[in-house]
Amino acid sequence: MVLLCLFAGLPVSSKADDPQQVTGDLDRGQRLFAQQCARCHGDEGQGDQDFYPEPLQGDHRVSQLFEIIERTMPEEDPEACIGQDARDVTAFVHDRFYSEAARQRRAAARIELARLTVPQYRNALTDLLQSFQKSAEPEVEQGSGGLHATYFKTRSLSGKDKVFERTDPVVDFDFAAGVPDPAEDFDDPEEFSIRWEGGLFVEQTGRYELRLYSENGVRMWVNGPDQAVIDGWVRSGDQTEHVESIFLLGGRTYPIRIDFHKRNDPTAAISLRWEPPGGVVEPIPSQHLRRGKFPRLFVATTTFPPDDRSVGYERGTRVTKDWAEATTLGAIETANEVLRDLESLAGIAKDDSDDERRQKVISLCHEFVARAFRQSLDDDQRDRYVTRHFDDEDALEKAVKRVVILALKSPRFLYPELGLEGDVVTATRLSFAICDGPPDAALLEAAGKGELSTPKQVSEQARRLLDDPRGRAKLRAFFRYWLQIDVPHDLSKDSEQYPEFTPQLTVDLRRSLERFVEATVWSEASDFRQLLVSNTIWVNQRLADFYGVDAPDGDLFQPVVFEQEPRAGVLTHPFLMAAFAHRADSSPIHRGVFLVRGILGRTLRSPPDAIELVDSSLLPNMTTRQRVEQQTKPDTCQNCHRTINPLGFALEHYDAVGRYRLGEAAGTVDASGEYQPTRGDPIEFSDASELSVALSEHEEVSRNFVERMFEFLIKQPIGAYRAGLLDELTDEFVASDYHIRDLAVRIVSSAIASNER
Amino acid sequence: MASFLSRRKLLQGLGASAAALPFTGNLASLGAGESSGQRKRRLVVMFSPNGVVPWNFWPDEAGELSAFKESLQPLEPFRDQTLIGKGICNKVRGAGSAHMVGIGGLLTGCELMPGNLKGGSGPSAGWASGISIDQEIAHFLQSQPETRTRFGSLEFGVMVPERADVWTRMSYLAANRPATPINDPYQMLRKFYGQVEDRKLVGSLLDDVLDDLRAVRSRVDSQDRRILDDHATFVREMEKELRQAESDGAIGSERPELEPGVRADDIPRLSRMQIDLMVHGFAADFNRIATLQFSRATSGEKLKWIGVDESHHTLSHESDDNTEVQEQLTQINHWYCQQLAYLAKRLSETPEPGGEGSLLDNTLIVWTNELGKGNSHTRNDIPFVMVGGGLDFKMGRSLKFDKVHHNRLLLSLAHGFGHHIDEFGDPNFCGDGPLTGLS
Repeated sequence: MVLLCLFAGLPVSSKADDPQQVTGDLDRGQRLFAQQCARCHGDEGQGDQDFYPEPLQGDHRVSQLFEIIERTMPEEDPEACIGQDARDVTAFVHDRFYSEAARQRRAAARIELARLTVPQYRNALTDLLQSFQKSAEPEVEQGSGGLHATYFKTRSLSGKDKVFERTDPVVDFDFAAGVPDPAEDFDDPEEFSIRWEGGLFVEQTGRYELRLYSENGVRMWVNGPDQAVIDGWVRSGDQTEHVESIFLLGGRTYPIRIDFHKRNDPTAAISLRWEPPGGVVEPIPSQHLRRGKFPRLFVATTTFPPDDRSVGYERGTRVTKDWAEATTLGAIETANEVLRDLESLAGIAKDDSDDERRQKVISLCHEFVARAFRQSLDDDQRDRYVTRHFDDEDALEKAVKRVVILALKSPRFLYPELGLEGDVVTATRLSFAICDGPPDAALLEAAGKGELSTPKQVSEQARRLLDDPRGRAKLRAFFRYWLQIDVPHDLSKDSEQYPEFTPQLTVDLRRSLERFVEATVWSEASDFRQLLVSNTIWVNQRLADFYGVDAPDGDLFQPVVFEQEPRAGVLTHPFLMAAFAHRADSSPIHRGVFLVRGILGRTLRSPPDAIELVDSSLLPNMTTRQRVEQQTKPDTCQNCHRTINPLGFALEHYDAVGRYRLGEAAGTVDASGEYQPTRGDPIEFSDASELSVALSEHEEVSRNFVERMFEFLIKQPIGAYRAGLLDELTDEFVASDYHIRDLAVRIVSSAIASNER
Repeated sequence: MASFLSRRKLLQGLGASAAALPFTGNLASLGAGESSGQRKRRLVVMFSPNGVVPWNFWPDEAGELSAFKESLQPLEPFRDQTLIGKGICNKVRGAGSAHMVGIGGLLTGCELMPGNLKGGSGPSAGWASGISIDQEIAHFLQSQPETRTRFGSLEFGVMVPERADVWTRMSYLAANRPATPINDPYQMLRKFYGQVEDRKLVGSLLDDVLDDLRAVRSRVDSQDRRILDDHATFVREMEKELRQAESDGAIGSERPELEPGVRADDIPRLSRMQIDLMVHGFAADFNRIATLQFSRATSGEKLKWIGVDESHHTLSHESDDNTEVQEQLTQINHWYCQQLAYLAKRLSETPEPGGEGSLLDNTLIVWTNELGKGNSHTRNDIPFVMVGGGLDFKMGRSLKFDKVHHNRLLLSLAHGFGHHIDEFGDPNFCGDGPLTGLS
């Protein structure tokens, strides 16, 4: 098997706008540009008043730019610059000033006006609607996960026929021809019913495929009492699986209820399963089921174009036509939701007169706009956004619709900081930075009372919000971004070599990594170094079996110390080891690139040539390390691979599925090497463990972590803020014993303090 | 929007426009079929429950329709456009009671799945095991550009309980996939025009949005104005597109007004509203196929507005000797027939847009029932009363068949649309193909 250029499928995001297909010699390109182009376009492509005043900037891909230059330039003699000459000129122009990346490099970093990102937009709408609900607060029952279950001895689901209640950690039962519990007082195995109630917690935003399997009659409600998402009360033929997909916002818990009844059926069974985004079909794990009462949440399902991620993290500094159109559809969707629930939102009573109704609806609208804009409205605004829409004797509902749509199309809603003044700006920045959502009532109240003016007050609020489900969700999303967990990895492996490495196992691994990070971040010490050096891995039974450690019970994840083999936290976590590997072999290059770019924060250019890499089956007598060394020997490769390779080799003790190994068929593993940081002494190491200890306190790693977190939370470049901020934050991070949650709080507080626009 | 004009052209005559594009995206080539000489054909299946009173329903003689019995009197104005078929039997057996198989097999021609629903005697049952003929024909029409419409088919309900079970479902998208009829005319109207209304409303707000953008623009520095200027450009483009659509006269044209606030128990009025909407949908060519389902199989409705205070189903079990009840049952069917006649009347008053004659000339209404007769639960002599000129059947007649399978009538309907399938539903009931003698 021959693998084409590794980098074609390299699942790492590049900060540069990588030139594709066209590569050229930049120096030669610069000389040619000076000779043939600069007269009209200016030395730096800035343009020339007499000839071509526009600066040479644009968004053509480099291949398109090449085609244009070769075909048309220079204007007076297009034949003068073709072939390799055109290639070199293109590379120079694109790299130096044409591309978005080049322009970013050249422009001094500044804090740009930003609209809501898509997650922020969705959160803002959900929270806005939620703020009007009377029973807004969920009543969570303590204890581990699962749903509250009530069992009945008839199909009626009515109290008089109740047999017993209990908590079911998962809904996954096969009662065969019997009753749910023979010890209990069921009259007749031919007829009984069960109701499960509680909350469904989801971590990630996306489409969830809910699958309710049953041999009997079932109904399921998710997020709302209105209409069952699944109605299989009629059992028919061999139709035993009901599938419905539903869009849910991550970091939230939704009400769920399942009704089940057995009647006229020989046997009884039920299983509540799902396929979460990027996951596999599985029974919904108990960690995602909660006991208690949860309010229905409005979730805007309008599809949005993805946010601009050209600089690595998602941000809202650009608008497009499809985005503008999506905001219209989102506004309409929200307006319909407000109308659907108008009576309750406006607090209308049954015996209210028409005039009372009208007044209540108008004051609801005033409040709606004020909350959407995060400010109280002056008289002019009250009239402009609300009152005048009620002038006509039009139907009340139409006026409400106008108000909601106008508010949600307004830049005052869509650009979170526009038009705000005073402490409410602080509250808004703080909340969007920590939670990706608008300030809650407590935060606005603090702002209103002037209790957001000192750094201490800001930090305290930041700390409080970080522990809010929305804050936790955003921090979780940060780690998915930093560790590239949310990149679509292909973890499928060679089925002969790794027959037990199933899709379910890859989902387990991802959860294992997420649980480990979560547990570390939310431990008291919240120690970043633990992320890199810990020899604990979270496993459930399947993972324990596969990786050969003592098994915890069932699907529950437990931390297990890997005493028999060296482990180095996320660096050797089997999810990332398998993600940065081929189907049968490890991949030191993928792993090395992950370390160089992701952990150390260094930039790498794209490889100059497409190289065919040969896998172990063609060179059976060489170890993986030997093969990679041989294939990256040329000088052009070594520019980068002298850094990449040793770091990748350090992880050679972990095979393509992340199992520890001492050797491969061709010989023992040599994981030793040296890394030369941009500053300071080289790091020598004999294996991943030693490397990880050195990296865990290395300034390059800390700095990168601080900067990545800053960008992810604030969604602006750190260079746009106070000079020296990155150094300060890094120093404080080290001084706090690498406390991750403190870092998040410091980042947000300092960004607020130094952003006096 | 480079293709805006051409798409707009295609949409003319539909009562829709660019503003309605989100839901008319599949209208590739309206009008092409008509210009090639093919007339539009439509089908309505109307259902009412619990059988009929045979001696007050069926004409005495086969042949030319010279007079109607009491139940069918309302059809008198459409006598020469009516075709009555007696002797057509629903022979589907298997799981489920007579009522259940009666409705579940009525348009599907196949058995119910085994399941957990029990009614009367017989093994418990689930959903029908196949697609229904209305949906089969709708798929066929939607598969061809010249007969494709926005919805394909629409399922109207009147007093259908808000409960999905075998008794309440007649139309099937596929095996195990019953289609839900829409009971609420306001919901149907939203389905027709909700998005157009929304867009229109948005259009009327865009000036305000631009004002808003202008107002905040002055508060940011020049470099940040670029993003707001981009934003304003998109708003202006949207405004232009909506204005263009409006000047075409498509937005807000011809939208029917529904009497507001009609209560869910005002059945006679709801029935008229649903029929008015159905006719409107046909005139706008939203769909070519529709069902109109009154209540459900085994309906226990009390038709108090015609003076019947007892449950229909209970009455239908009374013996033939009980003349008082048989008269009430006759009156019930008479009322359903009035609804049929109202539909026929509204269709006949509406000219065929871009074609000849009236909508009724190009529509076949089939009125049917889950049983032949209530107290015997027979599924022989299922009522099939057809009105209108949609399928080239020879109307103005009463036909008597010799206990033929109703699957053959379902085949005839498909063939009437040019959909020449050899079998439909249970193949054992399709011998000899479509019914002979209809056209």
